[in-house]
Amino acid sequence: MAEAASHPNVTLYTLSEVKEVNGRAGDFKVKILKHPRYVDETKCTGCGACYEVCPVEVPNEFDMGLGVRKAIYVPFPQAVPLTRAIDKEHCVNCRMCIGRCKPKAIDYDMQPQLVEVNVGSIIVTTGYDEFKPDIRKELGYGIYQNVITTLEFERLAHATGPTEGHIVRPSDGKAPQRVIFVQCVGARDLKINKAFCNKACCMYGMKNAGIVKMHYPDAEVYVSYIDIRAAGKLFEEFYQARKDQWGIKFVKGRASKIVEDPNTKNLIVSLVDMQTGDIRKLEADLVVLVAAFEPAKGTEEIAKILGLKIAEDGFFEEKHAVVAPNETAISGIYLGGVSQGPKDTPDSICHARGAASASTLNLGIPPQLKEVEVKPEFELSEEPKIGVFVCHCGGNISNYANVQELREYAEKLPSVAVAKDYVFMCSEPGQKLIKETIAEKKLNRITVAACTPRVHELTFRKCLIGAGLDPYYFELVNIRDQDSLVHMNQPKEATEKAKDLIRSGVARVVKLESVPSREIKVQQVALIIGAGISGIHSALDLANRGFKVYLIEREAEIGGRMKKLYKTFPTNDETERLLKPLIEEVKNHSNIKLLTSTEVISSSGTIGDFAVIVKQGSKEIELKVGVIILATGTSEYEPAHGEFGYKINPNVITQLELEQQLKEGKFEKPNNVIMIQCVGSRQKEGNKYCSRICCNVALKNAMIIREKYPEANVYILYRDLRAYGRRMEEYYQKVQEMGVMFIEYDSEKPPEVTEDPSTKELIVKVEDAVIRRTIEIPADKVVLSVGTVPQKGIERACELFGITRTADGFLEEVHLKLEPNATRAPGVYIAGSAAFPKDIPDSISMGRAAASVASIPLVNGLVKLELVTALVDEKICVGCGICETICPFEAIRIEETPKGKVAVVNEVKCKGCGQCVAACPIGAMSLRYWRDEQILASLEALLAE
Amino acid sequence: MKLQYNPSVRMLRLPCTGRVDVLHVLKAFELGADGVMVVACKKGECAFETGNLAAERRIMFVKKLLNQLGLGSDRVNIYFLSSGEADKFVAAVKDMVEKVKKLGPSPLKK
Repeated sequence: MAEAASHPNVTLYTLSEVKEVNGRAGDFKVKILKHPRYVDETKCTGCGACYEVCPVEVPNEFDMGLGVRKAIYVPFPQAVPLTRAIDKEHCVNCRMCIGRCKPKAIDYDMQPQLVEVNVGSIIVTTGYDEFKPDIRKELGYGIYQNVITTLEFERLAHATGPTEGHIVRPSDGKAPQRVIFVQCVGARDLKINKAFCNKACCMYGMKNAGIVKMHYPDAEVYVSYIDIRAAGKLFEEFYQARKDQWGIKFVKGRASKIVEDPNTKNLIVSLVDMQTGDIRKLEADLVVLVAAFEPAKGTEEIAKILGLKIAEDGFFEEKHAVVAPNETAISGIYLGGVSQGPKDTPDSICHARGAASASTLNLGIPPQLKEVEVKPEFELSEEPKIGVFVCHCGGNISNYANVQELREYAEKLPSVAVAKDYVFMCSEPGQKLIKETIAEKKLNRITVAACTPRVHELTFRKCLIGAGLDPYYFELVNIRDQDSLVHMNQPKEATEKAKDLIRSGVARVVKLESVPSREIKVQQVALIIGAGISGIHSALDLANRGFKVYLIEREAEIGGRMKKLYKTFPTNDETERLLKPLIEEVKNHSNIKLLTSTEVISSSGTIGDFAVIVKQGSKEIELKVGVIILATGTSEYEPAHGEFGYKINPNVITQLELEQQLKEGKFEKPNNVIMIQCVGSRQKEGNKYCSRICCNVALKNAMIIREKYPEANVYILYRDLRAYGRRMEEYYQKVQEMGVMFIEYDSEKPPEVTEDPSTKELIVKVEDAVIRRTIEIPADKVVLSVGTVPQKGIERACELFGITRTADGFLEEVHLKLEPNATRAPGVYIAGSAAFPKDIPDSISMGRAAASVASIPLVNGLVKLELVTALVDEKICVGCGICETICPFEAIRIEETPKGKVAVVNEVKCKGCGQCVAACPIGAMSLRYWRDEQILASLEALLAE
Repeated sequence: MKLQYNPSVRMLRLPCTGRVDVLHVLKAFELGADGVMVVACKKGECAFETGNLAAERRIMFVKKLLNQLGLGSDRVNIYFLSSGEADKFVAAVKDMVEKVKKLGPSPLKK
């Protein structure tokens, strides 16, 4: 939020609504009504004096009505802008705040303003509101105090919430000992016309169940569910850990009724346990209804103003459910995030970035961002004057380590002038606190004790620049990911460890130095590796924006996995028809150079200036590019010989083989078809993850078979039916209505496939997990829903481009939730299922998102290269050449000089690993920013006590 | 993942394990560390291509030194894992702590 608000190309309109839109793509006129804030944003300093005197108390909407706020207020502590507003509906016009406001920022007579802006594109990112479960009266919401929703729970669990992070029962403020999370409230519920699956709530339900366990390790925590749909990256692993290691009890069965015991205010939750068939009554002292998303209030008005259609689930309708998820029927208007149906954070980010990419294609290239140099308003002292800022991370740190103690400790360290703590240092007010403290205390060096440098080093460096300090006089100490969150049950030890880490960080910041930079002219050319649906979209977006693109593909034909499919879910379109125009567009695009049957041989250089050698047949070609997008896709899990009879009996095939037979018309009329889910996915040993798409693929192919041969019996043997994605739950319901039979099996008791020795007829034996009876079904075809595995050769790609993989073997992003497109190698981005299995619309969104992110250096034309590089002390160097041999980047050469041989570093080629420094036998090499004196200072301080 | 591990570990960040100098490791022992674990990228996945292998060579050398000094070569170990493999990191910490516990507190501790 802070970044968006401070971006020079972003104008923020808060407390505002769109009233009218006229015009067309490239030239929209938008009338915006700015509601009066009654506080002048330019004058308000956020001091809070007005808040103290305001006599009115109103339920706080941000805390879901659990706490109170005043009539003059800031909605929440990280709000942007951090200017107060007066809620005139509740204000009693006492004018007390006016009297207290020193900057005279309050104006009771402020009028609404109508602003007209001219824009080329519009993106709708209106999000969602939480479903209000009170229409489901039997669940007791709004009747019993101790039945709350997830968002209410989140406020209770949050350090800035009404209870300061203490999870308590609303009725008596006591800590709950038995908590039940009820899934699918307002979702998968035809009775109230909410057919859709919300996609995100299985995960946030179990996340919050885990939070109860963190607060109260002895509490009994239940999750009542229909299917656990943990179908995202590392989700299945998260689920298994909550179940097996955290002791959370998952009960398969939808809660049908909740009643209160009026004496204890405890709740009795009734449900049918689908795994035992028993009716169970679970008593709890707190029930959390994991409520689904609803289209945000005002969605229909916005639709009317923009002329957009609303789909059956109530969210905006995209142009095409499969191949145009970011666009709408109206050219120039796009959808981002949950406005196009429920999504979790990374999917929302990819979808919104996809919309950003689509929406800027016709806008031309924006003016280059100019850096404004800020000079401090005070004289910087020679002596180090350090400010230490300890972050609570909204409880992620402060719940497990004593942040007040850390602040007091830090303040006493040598060279430290001041130490402060705050709930979110990275937020706008947190950064403001740092800037103000710098000016007030005339600080010249800063240590922030918070989270990982991977996420926020840049944030705080920018903050230092904003305060006029050199951004390299800064050290981020990780007391969150490397301390509080990994020692949750040992607050004392966590606090002591944090002290050591802070002491070490302070010692390092004293010794730090400025790092010069060098501007690199960006080759305004992109390389995209992999021409599946995702890579194709990355290529088209960048090419349409005017950049040259090399699109390389290992296979002879482009189109990737999608090309091999017969039809798409949930639209049942023939993929050929959807894919063909895109392939033609790629082939004929004047900005795209397509290289098929081509593989990467080597890569060197850095963001803005890579040299990649590719091989096509016997021909080697060098490509000079500025950015690289990896859209390398996935491979199919190949069942072992004899796994479910695969390769022994020709009638045991994979879903992909089935699609090929269907596509070529070779699939003959069967009597019984049995599909087996989770082959090579969700395994105890081997692939632990859920492959995300196979349930949907099975549903689709089951439907196709039933449509073609209505007499054929189709069985789907599954563990949890993960109809994941927009309209897929509705699709699942349709497949059920069509008579496809679903049999749940237990992971411990997988189906057995055997063949009759004489007739070779296949027989599938499975124990139905609901009725607990073993059944045998003869089958003409057994179709294995095999999982998805990392692409063949992915290890080599990691090595070539200096990137990493997550435990599941897929490519690793900078941040699983917040930065899904970037890798740890600057200028190298990920698109599509290379990061994790994805369906077509998600692959498209991510491909376009990668194009959007990759276009930033391409548009800017220049990147700054931090010269964290090796330095040679020529007085000491004897030119032995060990460094030249060890350097993996050919960045060091031994040169003859009048004084003899000496090592010379090419600072553009040098990547700053420091191998040469450690290898130099006489100490002539050093690495800027990681010099021995800097490392040893932090090491000595780290182990000092 | 929030997997929990022994809080006696202290982290020092370096740009690459290829930067790890024999001097740094010995200094840590001089300052009283009971053990030093070097956590490097997986082999073949080093962002700087060979940094982890260079570190491995140096750690093998330090192991010899520690043996000669009578401190025990198990006081220093190198582990290869990716930043996405929290489970492996936790297992490495466990392994390291067990090894050091077997050897007892460092005799260099003041």
